Amino acid sequence: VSDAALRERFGAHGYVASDALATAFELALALEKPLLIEGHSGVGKTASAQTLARILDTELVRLQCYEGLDAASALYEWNYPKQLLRIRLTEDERASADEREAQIFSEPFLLKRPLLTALTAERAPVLLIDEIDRADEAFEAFLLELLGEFQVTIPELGTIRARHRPAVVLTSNRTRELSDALRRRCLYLWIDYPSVEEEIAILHARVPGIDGRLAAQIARFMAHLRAQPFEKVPGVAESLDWALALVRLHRDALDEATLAETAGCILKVREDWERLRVDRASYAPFLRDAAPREEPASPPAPDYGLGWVRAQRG
Amino acid sequence: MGTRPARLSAAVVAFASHLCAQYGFTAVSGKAVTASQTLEAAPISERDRARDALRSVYCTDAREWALFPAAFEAFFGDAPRGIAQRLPADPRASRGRDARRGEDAARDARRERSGGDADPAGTHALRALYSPRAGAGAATRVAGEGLRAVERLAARLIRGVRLGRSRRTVALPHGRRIDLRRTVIASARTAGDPVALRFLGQSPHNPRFVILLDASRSMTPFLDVPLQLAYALCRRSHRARAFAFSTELRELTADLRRPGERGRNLSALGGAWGGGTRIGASLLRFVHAYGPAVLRRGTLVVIVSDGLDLGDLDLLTSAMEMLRLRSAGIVWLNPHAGSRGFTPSAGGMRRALPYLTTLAPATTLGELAELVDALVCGAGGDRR
Repeated sequence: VSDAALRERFGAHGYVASDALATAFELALALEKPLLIEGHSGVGKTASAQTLARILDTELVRLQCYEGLDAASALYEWNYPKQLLRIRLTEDERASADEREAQIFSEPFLLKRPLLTALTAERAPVLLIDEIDRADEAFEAFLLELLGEFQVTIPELGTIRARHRPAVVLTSNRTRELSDALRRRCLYLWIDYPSVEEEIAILHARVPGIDGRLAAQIARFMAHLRAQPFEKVPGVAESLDWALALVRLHRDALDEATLAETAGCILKVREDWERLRVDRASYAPFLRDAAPREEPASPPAPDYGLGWVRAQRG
Repeated sequence: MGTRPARLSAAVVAFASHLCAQYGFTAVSGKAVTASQTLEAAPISERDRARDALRSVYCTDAREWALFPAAFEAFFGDAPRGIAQRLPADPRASRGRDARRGEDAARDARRERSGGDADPAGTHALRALYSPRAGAGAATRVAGEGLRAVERLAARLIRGVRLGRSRRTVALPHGRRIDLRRTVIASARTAGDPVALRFLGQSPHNPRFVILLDASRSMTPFLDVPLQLAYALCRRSHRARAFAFSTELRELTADLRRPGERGRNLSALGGAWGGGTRIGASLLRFVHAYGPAVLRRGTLVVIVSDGLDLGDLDLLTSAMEMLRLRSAGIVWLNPHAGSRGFTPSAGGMRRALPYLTTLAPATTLGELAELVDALVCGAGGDRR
């Protein structure tokens, strides 16, 4: 799939893809290499992988990382209650210890977690390893092996090799530095905040029916907001939430009252609310456009010497 | 004249050398094959596509991502119709100007590392590296032995400091939480009866360090040992980050870890060294720009400053509050704290004091050793 075609397909699924993003995904698919995506929160890293799965019409297998995530939780676990039950039920059988062990450590007792699910899928899925920066270094090291060979060894079962190589997308919010080893194995993509024009396109793509003027106001306002030192700088996700809220409230333009009522859609920290309140004068230029539109100037009415006659047109 | 694939590979290798030598890209080796495959996938006649493709291959972080377009333009800039124009006619020509420049840079770096200077990583060199103004003045010369002592102290600090426990669980011989997985596996040896229980517990935090050096004019005479400490921490732990601030804030980590490339950012660091003091604004800038990446429950923040803030003190209060909430503790090293009759009366110090876990001097090796003792014995960082 060429990058232009890929960009079109992303667009068809409501994701406005940049050239760099389309090229990176094209290469990741062509070279079968994992793609590491970094960027601020809410710029569409996870959504890009979800969209890719829809484009490829395949399953999205998502592993959400967190501190303390270990290989067992990400790969597989044995169904211990089921194993214990089986042991109890077969106590009277005259089976040897080896036979019993083979029985309870077989596939029916295996609970597949996301990574094993991705490796054993019938059709190559998109494997999204989300927020890898939240996982520990030990888990990152474990991933290196998996992403290098696309196979995993379960001591009781043997080596399981991927039936089809999944398209692997890793995302990171940079809450910690990832190892060079992991970075080396991946293609890299940085997603920045969109430009005003890009954000308008995103709003139109994701919020059908949004007023053009409102979309432009939101995009300009958000661009200004992102330049301020807020604790939690709003991303595109917040723009979309805000736009949806404004459409739901039947607002076709931003004004101060609307901003005050809906600030919770874009700012999620009390201190940021306070900063917005204190600095509200600086936001006035972005709200000024909300003044009622002037009616387009009507053509001069004909003068018959009897005063002005204004014709009402259908 | 070489074949096209050979010329392409040669260009890729030369470009990688250019990225490494001129822009400090860290992970270019071993990527030539991927880059060549990439250029086969993305037609090199399409300049923007080729640029985006190589960008995905050679960049490994946001800094490199931002630098790449300029690096690409600098290397392929004279090729208006695509990078194919830049392919050398002969594979041997890939050892052209840029490749040689890369080699020269690497050779210079090696020479710098090994030759001439009796104290290659000493404070004098570090000062010269990071401070054009201090380098021109009466820079203090510290013997290499002093640096080695600081490195030993840093190693002790990294190994010894305890900053609470993480949420990550590990196997323990005793505890309150049963490790069902290991218990069941062990029970297979005893006919399914869980005779020997296995336990889980939380592992201690691997400590992270952030050292913020106030490099304003009033502080520069006292920064020899703190700069050595920053150097030693960054060299010995990949979890340490170092920053300098004056009226600007700059990160020093990468350069402290790459002594072979010293001197590159002399002018770029000027605003962060030897100027006026904006402690609050600089710390706030640090919290916003780097906080998400470095501030965690296992991070010990070390601020080296005399607290003479000429900026808005409310900013300092906000910054300290955020730092305190997001870290394991804040250690403030004030060069005057060891003086007889010292009271934290400077405006900045008064504002910062409620948020500190430790206030200490650390301008001499002895003071630094006492500080490390105190931190390792549990005085630094509260145990959350």
